[in-house]
Amino acid sequence: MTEEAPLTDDARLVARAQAGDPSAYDELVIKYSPRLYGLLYHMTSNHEDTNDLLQEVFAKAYRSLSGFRGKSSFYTWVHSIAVNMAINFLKKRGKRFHMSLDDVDSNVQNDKDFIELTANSTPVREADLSELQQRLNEAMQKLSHDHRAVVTMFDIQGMPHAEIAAILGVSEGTVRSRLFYAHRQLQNYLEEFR
Amino acid sequence: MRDEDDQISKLLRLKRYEQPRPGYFEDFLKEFQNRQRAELLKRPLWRVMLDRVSAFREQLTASQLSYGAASVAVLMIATVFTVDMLRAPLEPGGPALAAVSPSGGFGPTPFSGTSGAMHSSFNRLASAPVSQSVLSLEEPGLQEPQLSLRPRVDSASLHQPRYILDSRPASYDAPFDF
Repeated sequence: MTEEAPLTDDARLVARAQAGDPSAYDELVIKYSPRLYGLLYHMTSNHEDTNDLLQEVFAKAYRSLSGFRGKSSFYTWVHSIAVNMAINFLKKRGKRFHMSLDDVDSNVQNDKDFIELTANSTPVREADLSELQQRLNEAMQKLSHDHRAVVTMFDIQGMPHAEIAAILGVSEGTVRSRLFYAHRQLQNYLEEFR
Repeated sequence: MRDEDDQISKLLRLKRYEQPRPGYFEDFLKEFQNRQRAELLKRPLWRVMLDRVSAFREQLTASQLSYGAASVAVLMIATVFTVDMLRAPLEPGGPALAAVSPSGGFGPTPFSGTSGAMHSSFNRLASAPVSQSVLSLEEPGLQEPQLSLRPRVDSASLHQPRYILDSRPASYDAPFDF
């Protein structure tokens, strides 16, 4: 699938939704809720907060849809809304929260990265998967909101630097420098696995 | 350093396997729709109207706004022009007045749409001496007439017809002769 085809589909759905077709917006919700869920979940590390935020994101996007002029893709636009709402939520939440993590899909055991990491020569071979998950999330929560956002989008969701820059409204250089700093921070937090 | 960074990236990539329960996203859409309906019902009517007006205004383009403003301007000009036209017969110099001179003379009135018969009658009447107070805007050289909306009454005009009906003084009408 080329990059143009999804944009065209989204543009058509957005036009129909702007014209008052609720089923078109439902299709956009179905299409983007998994990705936006992942973004919000990895930034908040709490399933309940993620569910509430996801509702708010789509509600706000719907209210603002009439003002969407298509200067960026709907994908970029709605991700920008999600990131901003997540950061605002985290600022209000502060440090008083508890992690409410989703279960790890059993397919992880077939992932090549998982296999490599649990091989004999890697530091995490003895770690229980749930403990690893816990420690990673703790380390992620210690990052600043901006650094956590770039790590979530680049490392977890696999977005390219250019896409992240467009969503955050910063330069690609800023994205790269934030990633570099965040990785150094995470390495320090996970030092005990060495 | 590079290897450690690579390991961090791999660990982070594994987090994408953290997923909500099966069926979550299907239920999410229903929950979202229910929530939207509930919000619409909760919102006050004035808020709904305000949002609709705001959305309508956002949809208006510059050309549409210009067209609307131009239409309003044209309507206003037309209204002012129409009001001026309706008021014109009541103002000085209008064709509806016939001033009566104290000396009894009846000068030509500035009727613009006078019929031929009426015009000839006025010509007869105009043969009488014309006082300076005759209202006539079509007679150059005359002094500016003194306008009066009511017939003037003085001793000299007591025996003169005060009102003109159908181009003839009313008192000249012959009584009914059965």
